[in-house]
Amino acid sequence: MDENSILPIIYDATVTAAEVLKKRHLLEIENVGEGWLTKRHWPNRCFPEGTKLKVIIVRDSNLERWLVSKIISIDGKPYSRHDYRQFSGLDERYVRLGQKPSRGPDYGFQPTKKNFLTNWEKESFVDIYSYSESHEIIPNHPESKFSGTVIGFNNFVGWQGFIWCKDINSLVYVRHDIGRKEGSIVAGAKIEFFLGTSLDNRNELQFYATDWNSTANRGNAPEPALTFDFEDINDSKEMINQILSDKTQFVLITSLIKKEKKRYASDEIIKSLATKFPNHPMMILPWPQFGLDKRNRNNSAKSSAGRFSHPLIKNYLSCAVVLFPLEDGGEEE
Amino acid sequence: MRELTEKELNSCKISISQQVHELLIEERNEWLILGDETGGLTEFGGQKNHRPSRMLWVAIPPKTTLPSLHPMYHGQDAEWFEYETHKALQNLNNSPEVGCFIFTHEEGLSPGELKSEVKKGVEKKKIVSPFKSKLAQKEHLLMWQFTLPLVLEWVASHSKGTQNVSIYIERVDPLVPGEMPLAPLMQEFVAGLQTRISWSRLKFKEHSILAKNPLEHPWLGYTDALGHLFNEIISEKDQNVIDSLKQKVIAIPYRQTSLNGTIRQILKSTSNPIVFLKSISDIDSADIDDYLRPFFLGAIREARNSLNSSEWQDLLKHFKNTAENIEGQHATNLILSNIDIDSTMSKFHNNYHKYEFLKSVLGSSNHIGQTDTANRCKAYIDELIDEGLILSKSEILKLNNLSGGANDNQFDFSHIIDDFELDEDNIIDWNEETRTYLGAQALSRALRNNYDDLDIAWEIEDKLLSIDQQTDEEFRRRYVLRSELLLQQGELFEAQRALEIDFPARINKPDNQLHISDKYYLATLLKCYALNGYTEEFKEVCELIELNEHHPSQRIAYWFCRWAQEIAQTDNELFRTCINHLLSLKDIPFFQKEAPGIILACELIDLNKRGLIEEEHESFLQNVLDNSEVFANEWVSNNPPNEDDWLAPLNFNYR
Repeated sequence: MDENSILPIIYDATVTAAEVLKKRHLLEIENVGEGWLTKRHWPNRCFPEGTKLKVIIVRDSNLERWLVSKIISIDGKPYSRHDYRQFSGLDERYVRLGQKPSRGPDYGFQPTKKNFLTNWEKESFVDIYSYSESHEIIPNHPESKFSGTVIGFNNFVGWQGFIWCKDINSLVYVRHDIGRKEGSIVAGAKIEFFLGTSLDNRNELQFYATDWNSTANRGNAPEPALTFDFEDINDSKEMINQILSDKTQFVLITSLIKKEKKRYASDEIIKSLATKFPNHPMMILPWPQFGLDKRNRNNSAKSSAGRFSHPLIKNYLSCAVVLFPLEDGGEEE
Repeated sequence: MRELTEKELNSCKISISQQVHELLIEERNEWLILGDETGGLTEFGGQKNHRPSRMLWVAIPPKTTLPSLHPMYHGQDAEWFEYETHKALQNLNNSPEVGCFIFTHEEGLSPGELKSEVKKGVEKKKIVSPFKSKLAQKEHLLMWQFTLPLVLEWVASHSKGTQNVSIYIERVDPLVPGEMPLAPLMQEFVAGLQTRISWSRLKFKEHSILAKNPLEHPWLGYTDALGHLFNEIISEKDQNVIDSLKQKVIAIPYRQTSLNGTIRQILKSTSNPIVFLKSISDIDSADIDDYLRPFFLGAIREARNSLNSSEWQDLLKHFKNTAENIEGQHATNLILSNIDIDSTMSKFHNNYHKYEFLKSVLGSSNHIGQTDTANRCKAYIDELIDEGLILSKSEILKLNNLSGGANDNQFDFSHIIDDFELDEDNIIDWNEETRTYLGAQALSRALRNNYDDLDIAWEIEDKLLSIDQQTDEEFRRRYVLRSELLLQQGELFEAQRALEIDFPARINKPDNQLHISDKYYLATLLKCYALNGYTEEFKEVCELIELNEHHPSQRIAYWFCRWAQEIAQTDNELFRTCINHLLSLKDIPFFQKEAPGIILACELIDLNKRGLIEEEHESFLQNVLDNSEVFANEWVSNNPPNEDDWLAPLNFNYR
């Protein structure tokens, strides 16, 4: 059903209290009772008690309260959001004009830049402010499949993120366990989706993506590398050669520090491997990394004053060497 | 030579981590305490979040081995680790010996001054620190240092023999892996508490920050998983394990003022048993419930066992001095609960000291519903009297009052003196013991409600009320009892008037809401509101209702539900909370026998018959009776719940 086909009822309301910190007003709505003008409609100012409003309201079924979805007039004067802010055609939560851009790649989403906002406002045709309640699929565009880019904003890998789509004047929430058809939520990924509305955890209306496909696929959780204990090398030589016959493979040779066991140093391991696997390229694994402690600016020491990235693991690891397949032209002796 | 891709390098890190993890588990012979936090910790800067910040600890005993988690485990990454989180929660749930602790931020700021600034019409709060060091202001450090000592206390009281302890916390900037920011804290508590047997047996090995990606310890991720217990969205397959785990986890508020003040002090004072035990009566009831009860029961036992005869006498004198206030009573109950009477009695060489000890235990057993302990105390006191112990007249009165209280709790009213007569001329001469004795006679009679019981109870209470030399609290108690007597007589309006008008006028303090914090006052007030169908002040009273696991919380919840039903206000959160609270009390031993159990069972049956609870509770009543002495069984069989009155066994303020 098209929401716009029904003329909404306009109610008279009076401001009875303003909660400045929460950016909301408590209203007495004629013939209805108590209602709220929340920060989504906070027109950048605080109304004194007794201010007369004409409003359109909606029922928040979760909290069982009435909320203003649109202000028609304030003290008899017609109200338009355009009177109060720039880029009023965009969701104000995501307009950051003049602010410092956040660090990291923006994936085309530049809410601090005027040009970007002007274009976004011009091109977007799906308006968050024309909705006032939750819809599984928005009624105005039930068949439309949108496409956009997952951006870095509130992105928690493997769980949730936000999509920027130039057709929509707000960001679109996407969550791993809601409407996923394929792919992962990774910043920068292209994503196709249908559009619904829901309340976020601050009880504000937002768009969310459903039936979405993402071009990114993180696959399963990473697996450990094929690894052999240095002391077992002799017994495993044949198997290692077999593995390394595949040019895309490598093996990891480790020597751990165990009680009552010999501890092998890296040069000892390299030397031995060079004999057992001649001409095979190899490298000492640069991990756990050692880094100088730079927190104390007065520390002029250039060495020794530092830490390993993973000191507990380092306590148990004597050495780890990566053994690669023979390079083209390389030959076993 | 080709280089490793990022993915290949990660696979190497995972492999090495897994090998080291195996070694760590193989070589481990210690308690392992792991810590992590969730949330932005913005509350420490004065900014409340939708999702509150929490400090999470997991304490794993030396002989327990949990399955290792994936080295890259991150609970928030549902795409990779949803199943791992589910298994982790299951593993914690299946290991009852593992301690799980969640401190949820309720109060506390970073050191510094909270300043507000308004930018673009929006007020923002910010802490301005007096310290130059970022580290000193680190909220994480506050959370660690104020909660870890409690976890250590828990470990100390759950350790057997000499045991090693290692503590690891997940890294957070600017602290880097390998750092030991807990060293000063360890020094403060470990050195300070060496005089205690339990702490002297703990040998501290490691205490440092661990790295993540990959996690340095295979079980560090369990703290992360624990943080999912309070997720707003819980999948169907996790629901059961989470419900079960919530029962086991010690989940309490983080109140920095308490943790950094009284609780820190009291933990230090455990090194001096008598000072420690005496100081419990200074702790407020919220801190008793949130910190003392979950963490200090072992310390109390240890301190109690270490007292000699003269320290015991000192403590008993302290009980007497603090018996007038509610904190004192709670402290005494906490100290004496589950005490080994025989071994403690053997410390006293004087029969009168033995009597004083038994009298204290008898009093606290009455309060906490340990009827078997109360009965043993009474039997031991009788033995002492048989052996020749002579008690003064006032002491005999006190003893009768205590014994009467114990008997009332079992519906044993045989102690009521039937040929009782009031000596009217001497009201002014009634001393404290006489007033208490007469008050107890009135109470027992009102609970029994035979023939002229109510008349005599009214007569006594009327006399007691006429005495002017009483504190506001004493007057409040008198008016609560008067109101209950009026309710019993069907004078519903007068009963409400006694609480709301007569009492405030008597003490000349017109605001009766000041007294709602007294749970007995609140219970009776709600009963009046319910029975009168009072339609005012519903919202205001809703905000003042607090529930706990003690009597008369069940009466408060029950009468609130009745009131809400009476005035058609059942569609609200507090109503649902009260119903759930009543149902949850069934699991608490105090409510599984004798009067507290019968009160709860009848209330549940009644609410079921009124259509407010789905489940029937007749079988719960039967369980309560099976757990109770013969008197309670006889009483309920003579006054069974029935269609006309499902609360039939309950008279006066049991109703």
